[in-house]
Amino acid sequence: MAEFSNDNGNQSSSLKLWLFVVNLILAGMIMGFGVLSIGKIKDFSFTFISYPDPAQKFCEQDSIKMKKRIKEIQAKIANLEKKMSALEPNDPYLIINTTANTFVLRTKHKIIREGLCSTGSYTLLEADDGSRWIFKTPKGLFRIQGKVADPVWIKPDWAFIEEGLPVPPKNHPDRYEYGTLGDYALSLGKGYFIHGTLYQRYLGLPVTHGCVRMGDEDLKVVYQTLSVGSRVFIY
Amino acid sequence: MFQNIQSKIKSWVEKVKKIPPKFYLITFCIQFFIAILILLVFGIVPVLREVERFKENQNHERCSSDYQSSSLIHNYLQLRHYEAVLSNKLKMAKDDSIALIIDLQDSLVKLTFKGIDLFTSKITGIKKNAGLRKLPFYLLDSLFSGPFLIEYEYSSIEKFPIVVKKAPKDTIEAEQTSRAPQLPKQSDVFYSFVVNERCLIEIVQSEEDLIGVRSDAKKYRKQKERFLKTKNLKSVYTSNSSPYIYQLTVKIPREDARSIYRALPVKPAVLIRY
Repeated sequence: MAEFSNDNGNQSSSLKLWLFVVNLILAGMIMGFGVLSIGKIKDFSFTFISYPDPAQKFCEQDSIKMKKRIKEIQAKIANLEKKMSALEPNDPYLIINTTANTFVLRTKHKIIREGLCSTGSYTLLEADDGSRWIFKTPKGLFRIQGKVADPVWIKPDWAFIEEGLPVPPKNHPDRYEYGTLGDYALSLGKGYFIHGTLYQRYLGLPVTHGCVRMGDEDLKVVYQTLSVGSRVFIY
Repeated sequence: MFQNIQSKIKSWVEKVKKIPPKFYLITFCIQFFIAILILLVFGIVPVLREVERFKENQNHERCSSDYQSSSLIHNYLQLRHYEAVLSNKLKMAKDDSIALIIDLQDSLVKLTFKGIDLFTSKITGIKKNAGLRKLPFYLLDSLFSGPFLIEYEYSSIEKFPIVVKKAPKDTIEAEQTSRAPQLPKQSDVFYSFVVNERCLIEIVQSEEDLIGVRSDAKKYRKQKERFLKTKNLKSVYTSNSSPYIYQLTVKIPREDARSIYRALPVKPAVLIRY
């Protein structure tokens, strides 16, 4: 009899231990799940909770007042839309996307031409003497500073360094290259140009040293449409 | 050996059979209590705290007038919101940097600069988390339309994909390096902006198939999840942290998403039209 009750006691204490261990493990698992999916638990909580009703905020106003306010707002909106519209230039402007390497030549109301171009390659050229050049097209709003037909490229230092050639002195004949920039060039300032290219097959790719290259026909339209002072948006 | 295992399993089954039903009931009750506790601590309490913030500013008078047509209120609120968007757009036009406009009404994402829409992309999918979905229009307008200045951002692509090139020593070395330009690296585009410590705006590519290195997309998701988890857990034990993070996800074509991300400055302004 004594043996039997002792056995029962052992069983009940081992059961309690079991209960404790199993519950501890399960609790840990639930807790871990809770921490891992806390965002989802918060989202789920919105099933039971709502935000205050908007009607309460406006209930003190009657419908006549409300209609009057609607008319006031409509007038304000019309005024704001007018102001927004006034911001758009009336003369043609050019938009250049340096990521997709595309351009849009447009006016306020219509697209004149769109197509592929080439912009800066984002290459950082490092020379042995520690000089560095980054070939990227600047972003922002620019104005056409000047227009040239049959432009001549005056090669900067990096053009020689990139080809492993010694850098000639300024105004050296080696610096002048004819035909490389295509039929036209439009200056954006600080040495950046919109010009043509011999490498038409690379249009649509970021391959330039910072200038914007265009195909012959596109460049002709851009050259003829934009005048000195026209806006060029580069992003 | 196999028999040994079989007999052990049998003895375990016997033992489990002997466990009284009371044991299961107690276990279930304890676990149920813990689950409820977790729901309360991690979910209900922070969400209630968030909602209470709005209730504090509310006028709880009851409607006494004959009317109120909810469509009239909605119309009024929508117009007011549009007015706010336009005046913010006008303000942003004075800035010297490109800003982002997410127009959920017309399903468009736009890049705007000096009042001109430089780039527009059609949204192919919009996802909001439960809090943002339930947020009434009048609250969206006042608190979640912006313009916001981005506090942090997470992205699967680089902002400036710079390639470093050493200058060749001579013409022979220059000839050896290929003159053909390198094609841009194929990559998938996911990025998110955190604003006001309480709102996460995510722009993801609409294409399901990944074209780039999978680890980039994985890394981005991990970063985003880590941010959300940290913020959510912080809100449990600190009162000054935002109790809930609102999330808006818009899907646009991959190359559009890339153009937008690279066009935006490091800390851009974002405006949302709901």
